[in-house]
Formats: sequence, structure tokens, C-alpha cells
Amino acid sequence: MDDREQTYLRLIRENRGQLRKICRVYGDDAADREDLRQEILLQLWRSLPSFRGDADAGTWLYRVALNTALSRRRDRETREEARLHREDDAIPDAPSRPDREHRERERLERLYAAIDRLEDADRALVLMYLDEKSYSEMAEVLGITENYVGVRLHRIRKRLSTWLSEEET
Amino acid sequence: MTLEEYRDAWQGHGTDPDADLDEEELLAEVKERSEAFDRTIRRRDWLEIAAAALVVIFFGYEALTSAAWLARIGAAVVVAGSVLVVWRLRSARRDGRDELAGRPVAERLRAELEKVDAQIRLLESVLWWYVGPLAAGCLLFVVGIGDGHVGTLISVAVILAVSVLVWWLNRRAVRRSLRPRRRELARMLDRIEANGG
Repeated sequence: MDDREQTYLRLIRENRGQLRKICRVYGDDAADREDLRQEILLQLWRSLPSFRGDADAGTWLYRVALNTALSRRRDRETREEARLHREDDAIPDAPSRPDREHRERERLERLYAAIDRLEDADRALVLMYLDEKSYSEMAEVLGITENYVGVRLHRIRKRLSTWLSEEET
Repeated sequence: MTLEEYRDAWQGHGTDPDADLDEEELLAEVKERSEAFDRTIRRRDWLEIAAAALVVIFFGYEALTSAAWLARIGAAVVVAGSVLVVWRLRSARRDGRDELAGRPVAERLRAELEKVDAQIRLLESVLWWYVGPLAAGCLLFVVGIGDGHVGTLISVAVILAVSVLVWWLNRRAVRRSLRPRRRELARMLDRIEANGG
């Protein structure tokens, strides 16, 4: 196995959770998410030779994944007038799961539903916020200033909190 | 429940290893798809070059051997026009997509916006670098070798009709596809950057 193959597999292994969440947030349904995942995996492989280490590997992966997801949605939205109906099928549930897990799952469903209400660009910020990325990492991924990340995130968090409270009541 | 509590739930999920992820298989699949993508691009490029080569060989021969000077000039214009078309199309396609995928989102959006603007300019000027030279060359050639009767008139009409159709299709592509895409890109860039870039 050569260097490129080893680096690629390591990146996928270390960031599989983030990739899954990005696909969940930007994909319309299970099949669409799988297509998006395939597209991101392909783009990561093709872009890897151009990765020069000027950013952290995780930040670079985030950029590739987000750029691929956003570009894919743009292409589709330009082609299609109507937005596709979203299905909430990403988080598998088992009827026998204990209460705690069930509650956790419901929380996540509410959170994903609230994220779905955001604009594509804002979802990227929320994803990074939930993954506990620092402001400087978010700024590096998006190409904006840290100050603006703070301002923007403050507004988005406020909106998300309101929507989530509404859902709870 | 606060957003921070939701964040704890978020971090707890989606991190379990893929039970069905076979790394060897994944690698083989990704490499195969990447090679298939490259093959498609190469095939398209070769087809384009082969088509242009056929036109250049046929009209190049006519430019050198035709008895009528008007036909010779027309054939030479078609040859030059074909070379120009291939050159413009190939230079417009150098987009560095793979490299841009790893750049910051705003930078990538700006690059895409520039690319769409270039495509719009290219298609809006299709009359000057594509339709015009080829149509003018073909018209001169047909008139040069023709006898001025019905056959020539029909050929002229067909060339003009095809030229208008190609021009119209390109204008429509700008209106229906590129302009909406440009608006979407600009909107997203504005959303990400606003005054924070």
C-alpha cells in the first residue's frame, strides 16, 4: 500500500463520524446520503495529491466534504425547481432499545430537523460548532474571519435554540 | 434543554466503526471510479480532437486542391475556425476542480463564480468564435463549389438554419442554466461572507 492509499484510509478512519453527519445534514434521504458519501470519498481521493499540509488534515477533509456537498446541492437545485421531500431515516432505531437511548435518538431527530430548516451555508457552521471545532478552524474551513464566525454563529445558535424549544413544548 | 445538551447527544452518535467497511474494497472501488472518470474525460477529449481532425483533413485538402478560389478560401476559414473552437473549448475546461475542493468554501465559491462568468462570456460570444467563422467558411465553400442553382441555395439555407439553431441553443443554455447557477453561487457566497470575508 503506497503513501497516498495509507493517508486516505487513515483520514477516512479518523473522520468517519464527521463524514456521516455531513452526509446526514446535506443528503435528502438514505439513498441520496449514500450517493453523497460516495461522491465525497471519490473527491477526497482525487484531491489528496493537492493536499500540501497548509491546513490540518481534519480541516482539509472538512473543506473537501463541505465543498462537495454544497456543490452537489447547488447543481441539483439549479436543475430542479422543487426541493425534494426530506425523509428522516438516518438514525436507525431498534424497538428494544432502552429508554435512555430512545430519548437520545429523539433529541437527535429534533436537532437534525432544526438544522434542516437552516440555509445550506449556515448548516456548515452548525456542523462545525456541534463537532466542537474552534472559531479559527471554522474560519479556516469557510474562508472568513474569526470575528464573523462568532457573529454569525451567535445568530444561528439563537435561532436553533428557539426552534428546539418550540419542538420540545 | 439547552443547545449545549443537544451538542453532547450529537457528539455521542455516529462515531461507531462501520461494521461493513472493508478498507481494501473501499480503496479498490474509489480507485476504479476515479479511473473511470478520467477515462470518460479522455474519451470526450479524443472524440473532440478526432472530429476536428476529420474536418481539418477534409477542408484542408479542399483548401489546397479546389479549383474555385472562393471554395479554397472558405475551406481555409473552416480549418482555422475548427482549430479555434477546439482551443477555446479546451482552455475553458481547465478548472482545477480537484485542487479547489480542498480550499476554503468561500474561496471555492469565488473560483466557481469566476468560472461560470467565463462560461457565460464564452457562450454569449459563440457567434464570433464558433458559429460565425464556421458558418462563413462553409457558406464560401458551398457557394464556391456550387453552380448557383437550387442545390446551392438549399445548402446555404441549411447552413444558416443550423448556425441560428446553435447560436440560439447556446443563448438558451446561458439563460436557463448558467444565469440561475450564477445567482445561486452569488447568493451562497454572500451568505457565507457578507462583510466577514
